[in-house]
Amino acid sequence: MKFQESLNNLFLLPGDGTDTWRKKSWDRFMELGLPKLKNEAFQYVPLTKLYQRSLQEELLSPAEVAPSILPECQDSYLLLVDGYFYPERSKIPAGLVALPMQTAVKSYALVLQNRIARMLKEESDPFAALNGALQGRGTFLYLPPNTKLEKPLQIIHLCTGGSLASPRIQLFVGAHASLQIIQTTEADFSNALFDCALDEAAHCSLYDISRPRPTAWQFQAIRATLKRDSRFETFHYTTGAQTVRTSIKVQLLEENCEALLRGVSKLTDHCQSHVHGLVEHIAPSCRSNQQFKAVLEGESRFSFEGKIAVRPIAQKTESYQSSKCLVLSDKAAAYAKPNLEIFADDVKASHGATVAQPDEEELFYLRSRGLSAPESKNLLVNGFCRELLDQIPFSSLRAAL
Amino acid sequence: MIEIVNLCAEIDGKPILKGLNLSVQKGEIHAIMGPNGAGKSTLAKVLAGHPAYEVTSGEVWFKGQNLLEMQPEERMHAGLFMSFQYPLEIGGVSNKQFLFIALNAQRRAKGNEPLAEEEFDQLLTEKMGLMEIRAEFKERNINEGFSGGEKKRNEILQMALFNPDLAVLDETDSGLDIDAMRIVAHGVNQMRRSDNALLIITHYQRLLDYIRPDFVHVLADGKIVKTGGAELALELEAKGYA
Repeated sequence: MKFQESLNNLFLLPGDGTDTWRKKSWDRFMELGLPKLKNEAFQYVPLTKLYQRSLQEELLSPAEVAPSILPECQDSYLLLVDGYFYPERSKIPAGLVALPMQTAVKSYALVLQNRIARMLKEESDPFAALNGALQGRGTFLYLPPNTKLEKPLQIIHLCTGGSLASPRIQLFVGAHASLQIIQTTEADFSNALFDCALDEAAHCSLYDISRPRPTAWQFQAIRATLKRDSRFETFHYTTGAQTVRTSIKVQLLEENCEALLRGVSKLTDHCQSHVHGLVEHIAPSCRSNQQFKAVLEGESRFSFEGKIAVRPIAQKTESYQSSKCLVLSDKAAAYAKPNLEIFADDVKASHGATVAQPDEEELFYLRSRGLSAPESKNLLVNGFCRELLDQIPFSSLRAAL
Repeated sequence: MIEIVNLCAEIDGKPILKGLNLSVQKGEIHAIMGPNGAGKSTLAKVLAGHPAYEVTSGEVWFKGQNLLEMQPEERMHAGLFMSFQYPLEIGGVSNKQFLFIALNAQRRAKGNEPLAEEEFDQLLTEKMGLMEIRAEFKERNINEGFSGGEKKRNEILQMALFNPDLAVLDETDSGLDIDAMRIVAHGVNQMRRSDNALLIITHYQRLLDYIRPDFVHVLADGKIVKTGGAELALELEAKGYA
């Protein structure tokens, strides 16, 4: 019954002293249950109509959500509105367990508790910590061992108001399981967290697309831990806003795992995008690569601060990092701060950062072939971004960017 | 076709061309030879409109139009093509995409309908055949990972597509082995018409064995100091510029 599901979703404990009272009331309500149609006390009330209602549909109708669903993901998406996960409005692909956090804390208590305890202990980013405190109805995702999702899973973050949304994804990928996720965020003020635990030889790719309104504030933390032979890839595309800040922390816990972090920021006007990346090599023979690019117009700002930390035990590490910015306006500014912290001696590591304007000789070459100055510049800018954008395996997404 | 009158040009305040005069008529092939630093490549770049070079005096008339007032792309649209001595590598843009955009920019400027992608692809395949360029080069980024010879062939491929009235070949022969030179020369010769013209800038006489010039000029210290027929090139080869 849609109505009951809606109520389930509405019931939360605010922790303000009324919790016990609320909980007891809820239990009493559940014990009584919604009135049956034949209940005499309600016999003139049009209950059938009431029970057909879903409270969320008033929040955002399917027609309002439809434009946000990518063609590749029509049968495979999760809907989060204002940071609240709506399983009944999602299409959860076969093989994937997707539960609201309050359900998951009962059935997957141990695994969640361990994970969350670890995060609480280690988290150093204040916004990531804040997400844990203010989280909406979080999403628990579990992909059992050896399960491979054929189609990409879209995680749709939508917002209805100006209040701070705190969406949270807790993903557990079992051994030899694999999935691709496309995350799209349309929010004016959000502080999201995506946490991914990869078991042996598991594989997760996250394509994170955010094209907010210029007035938006979006904070996001990506956290991942990798076990032996696993692989974690992210791709962050944004057009920036007041601020889009992405904090990424990947821990390579066991041998032979691989992390690939990439991003393209295309910024105009006063938009800003900031990336903070940390890859920790905690085990030998792992590989990581961070590649970020930004194109800046107007008075936009971009920063990349990336750190590679290699522990003494992490011999045979291969770790690379690059940040390249193309600045098209005198008033735009790009900052790069690469950090290497290496305590092992058998390591291949490099970092590079460039901030440049379009090459005059290249522009002249294109113009001498008949392209106008703006066409030439566009072609150079697109070429600059394409190196990374071409790595997105979804054609509709690539075309849209 | 082109009339260069008393052309003076400098880069970063340093004069390079110092009163150069040259006239090329339809159907003619002119070769410009000369020692290093004489201003040969500067002439090519000034004609194509390179922004780093400043023309301090003189005039250039191309098909009756004042060339020096035109933007680089307008010069191309008007029918002037310059083959670069060092073609640039441009990442993230496929050769095919680039040539498609460029050719259609030229067609639009001339008031012609742009070519559909399919038509263009046929044309490109045909011209690539002429230049003996493998099909895979369509999808490669512009000049990226091309050998020196492949880059030069790619330049002449562009010339074949754009079909200019005047082509300026800036040291197209440098870095070419004999086979590549034969292919390039064959491509260039195929494009000869009674109403177009060629200006070949070269250090050596050997390209002129394949593309026979009507006139050979010696450029030294920013001026044409000597003009003769094809035999002048042989003489220079034997005796040097001194």
